[in-house]
Amino acid sequence: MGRPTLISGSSGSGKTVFSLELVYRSVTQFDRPAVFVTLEEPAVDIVRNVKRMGWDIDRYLKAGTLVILDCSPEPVVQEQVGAFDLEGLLTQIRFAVGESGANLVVLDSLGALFQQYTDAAIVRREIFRITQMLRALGVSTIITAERLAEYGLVSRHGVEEFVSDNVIILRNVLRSEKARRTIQVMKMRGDMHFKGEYPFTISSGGISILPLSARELTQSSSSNRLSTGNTTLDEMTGGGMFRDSVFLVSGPTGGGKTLMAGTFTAAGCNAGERVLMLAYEESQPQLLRNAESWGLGFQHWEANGLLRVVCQYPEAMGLEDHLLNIQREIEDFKPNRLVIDSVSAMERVAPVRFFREFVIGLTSYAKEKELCSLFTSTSPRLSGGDSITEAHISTITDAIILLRYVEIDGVLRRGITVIKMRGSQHAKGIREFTIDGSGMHIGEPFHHVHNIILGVPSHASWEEEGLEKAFEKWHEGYETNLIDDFD
Amino acid sequence: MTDFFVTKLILKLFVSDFGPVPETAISGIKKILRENIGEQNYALEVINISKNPELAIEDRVMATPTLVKASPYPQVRLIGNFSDAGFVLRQLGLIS
Repeated sequence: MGRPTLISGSSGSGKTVFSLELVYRSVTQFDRPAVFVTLEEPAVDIVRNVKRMGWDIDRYLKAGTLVILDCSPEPVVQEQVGAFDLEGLLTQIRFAVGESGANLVVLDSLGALFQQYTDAAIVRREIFRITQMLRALGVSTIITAERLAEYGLVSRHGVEEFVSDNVIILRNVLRSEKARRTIQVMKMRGDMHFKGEYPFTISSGGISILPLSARELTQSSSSNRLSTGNTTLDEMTGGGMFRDSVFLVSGPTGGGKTLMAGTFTAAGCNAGERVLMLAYEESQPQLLRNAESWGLGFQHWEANGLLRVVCQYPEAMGLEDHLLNIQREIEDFKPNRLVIDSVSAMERVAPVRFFREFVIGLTSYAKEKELCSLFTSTSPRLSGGDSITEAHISTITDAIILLRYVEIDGVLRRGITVIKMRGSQHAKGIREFTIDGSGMHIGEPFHHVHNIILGVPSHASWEEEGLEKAFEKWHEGYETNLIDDFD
Repeated sequence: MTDFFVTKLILKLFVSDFGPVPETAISGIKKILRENIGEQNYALEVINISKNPELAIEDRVMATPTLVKASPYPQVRLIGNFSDAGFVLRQLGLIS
């Protein structure tokens, strides 16, 4: 109470929307009247923008619990002759606070006063008087200020931060051709706060802050198992996937990932579970056609509401927006299973660090909602090797299934292995599988072949233990790799 | 000179109790008007926003003192203590 908070950001960083949302929530959720003083945009524009966010403010304006004071520059000739003060503005605010019983006053933006009045010394003095008055009135104050650079002086005029106890900085930075909004609490007098920048997005519902790294691993775990849709794979994983686990299917292009995702989806729908499928590599018709060709009745399930397929280009928006979108779909559809094909497609859109944040946010959200989730990841090489995606997300996922091509005697064959299964025993062998019109068939383990996963497979006709050794070696390699790559 | 003012000049002067005594601004502007355009050619309404704050909101007055030329069109707003008579008259369109 009575503590001014500064929200500073460059133009277009979301200061006005942010402060409007605070006002709106104060009035609607906490029954605390508020006064919004607009010094830059005309009040009609503010009201229009608010309505575009889907917020109905008319009744609060009518009831007088929300007051918008229009102090934007008027299109009339205004000249200065000698000394003046801003008692008019102070009077307006004092009157509005008194009439509405407001607990919150927003000044958007104080710096605009410098544009309206040429005498900077007077404006500076009056800004001090305004904040003093607001402190005396005992209302919480939000001051917005414009800054010229994303990293530099807190505010353009250098006055606002001196009158504020708390400083929040909003940024809108271009990285890899994508705009990324972040919020940072820079100063919070006498209180603990999270440090650093957190991404947020602005959409029709308002602002959503995504404190990804602040998420805690508090998910309860479940011992219920769900079928992967393939009985042999269920056996290999020791009885199927845990209900709240996230598993990663990694494989080269054409390696059977989408089929596996489809089988997993089908297993869910057949059991009467709701499945949300997010496809980032294929269009909806393409995906449905492929599913039909494997004999999976996606269209039927979609029609009776068990399945929802969402297709989107990774490039369509930033990762924060994707994450928010996924969360919205989950909230809305309330699925039991989540399928993402493929997570690695998102790698294209953003730098590695943001991608990792995205995956952490996504997996922790999926676990929070107790979704049995299958993510696919495309490995860059046809055989062996691992990808950035795996290096960054394999520690977060609960199970990893590798699909790899194996060249034996000039013929490409397919191999599958479970390399990680948290909290359960699993088969360690590398088994061969085939794909035909009725789906995936997992057969016998490969014999006399090494290096299936590590790189170039070679035939070992009498060294039976070679395979075992290669796998062990690979396993070690994989784990050291992870530690190296994961900072 | 009086024939020149076809429409009467309607002015509003907004003052407050804060700061420099409002009387100075009021008597200052009255003096300028009396000496330059004559009593019968203008109407001046003095509004103390400390006593009538709702009028400050209605007329969107932020600075005090503010002199508003409400008529004839176009509206002109002058803020300050009106120390420069020539400037005030020029801005009000009374002299060129």
